[in-house]
Amino acid sequence: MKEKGSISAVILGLLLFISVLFLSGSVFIEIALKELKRSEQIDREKELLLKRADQIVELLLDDPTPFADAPQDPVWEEMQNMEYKGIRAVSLEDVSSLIGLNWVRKELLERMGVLDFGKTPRELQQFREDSGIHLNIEKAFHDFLEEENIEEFFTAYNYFNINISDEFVLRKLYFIRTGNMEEAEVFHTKIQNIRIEKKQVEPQDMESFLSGFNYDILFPVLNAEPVMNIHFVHEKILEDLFSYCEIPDGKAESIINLRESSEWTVNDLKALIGEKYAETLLHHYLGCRTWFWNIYVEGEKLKLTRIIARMPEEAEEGAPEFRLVEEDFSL
Amino acid sequence: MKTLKNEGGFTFIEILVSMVLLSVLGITIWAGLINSQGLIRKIISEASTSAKILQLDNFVRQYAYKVKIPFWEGKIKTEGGKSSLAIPYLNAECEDMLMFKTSESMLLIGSKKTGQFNAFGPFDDISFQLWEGDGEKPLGIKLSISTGKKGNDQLIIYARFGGNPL
Repeated sequence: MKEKGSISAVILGLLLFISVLFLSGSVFIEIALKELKRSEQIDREKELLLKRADQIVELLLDDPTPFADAPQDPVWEEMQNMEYKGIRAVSLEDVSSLIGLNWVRKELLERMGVLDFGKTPRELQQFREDSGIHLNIEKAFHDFLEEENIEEFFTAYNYFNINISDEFVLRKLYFIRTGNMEEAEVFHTKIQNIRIEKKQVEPQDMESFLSGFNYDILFPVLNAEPVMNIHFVHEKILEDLFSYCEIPDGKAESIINLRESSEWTVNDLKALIGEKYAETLLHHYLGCRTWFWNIYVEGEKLKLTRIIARMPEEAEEGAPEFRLVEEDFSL
Repeated sequence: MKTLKNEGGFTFIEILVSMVLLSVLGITIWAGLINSQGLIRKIISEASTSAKILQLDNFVRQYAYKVKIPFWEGKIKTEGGKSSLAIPYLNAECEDMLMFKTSESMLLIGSKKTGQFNAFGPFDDISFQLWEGDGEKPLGIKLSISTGKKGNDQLIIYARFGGNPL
């Protein structure tokens, strides 16, 4: 028997080749499995975040006081119990109780005194006329206002109230929604006329006021509901609005002091502010409901931001209905 | 002591039989190898198609999510014809457009503003259109592709936009 033994270089090379082949194969399988696992984890987390966001919407729908949104609503307390099992943070923010930079009239803008030095409300109005309505207001209006001022006092997320929106913006909005410029001009004239006559359109009159003007297409974006919620509106905006609508001094301050522990209805506001609330445009600026909410849910790896809009109902006491406006996942 | 027969070697018949057997075995192995090669090629092709579709599905959904149409918009103005479609409000900017276009059998997806496109395919048949909800409000993009040569392996992807008009 041959005991010495020998192996050729070919066999050695073959063994080496097979080893490398198996090693690379196993590394490839390992990477593929890891990637698959990561992808599955992300999908699971996405589902979890969406589930939590849906739960918040459910809580808003179950609000026992749908006619008003306030810090006393059960949603805020319930949300605190959601931060467990992979959920790092949950928040709900009223994003519509700020002044709409897309529709604010130049008189109120003047009163607020937040424009950059040398810039006038008329120039901003002209800019809007030239460039249109913007979602990214920080970027669009950076030549007119400081970024901090835009973030603090203004929003792109609120409805266009027919009584308080700039007339030229309303013309533009009409064109955007219907695509008919001729009709937009007629609509603009109608708006100018009611402003000259100092008439106001109330929510229940909207449909008849807009008869022959594509009410179904304009609603809900254009309506006559108060755009901001008095329970969440910024203190400076409240003070500026009260001053703009010539409400006696001290009213704004007392509301700021009381609102932390109160949930008011429109009738309460009439009693609190006085006759001027209903007589002036103030009741179109300030109400008790929030129209746009920002829901934020943060998981281990992902963050979900969802903006929902409450539909302006026909009936005052009607159950709320929410529609998805924006949704975004980020890492 | 018992001795074996034919100690001198194999007979002609034995050699012939063994050659026939070896030939049959060789042909079988050869045929098997050829068949398995075809099978491997088919598996690789199917896996590659599936990977391409998964990659496309993921990409289309991610990109469509970046389209944020403002809530006040009515009917959005898209651009393009049979072989291209451009949708405004990519990254919430009116001037930036999410663009789908075909070049031969490839699908190109990207930003019209930056001109950067990702290519997917080849696919046998590609079509795309706006996915609209009630009142012709844009909800997302509907992408249809065919992967099989017979044209019956059709796949439809509905990818929702990140922002929708009211």
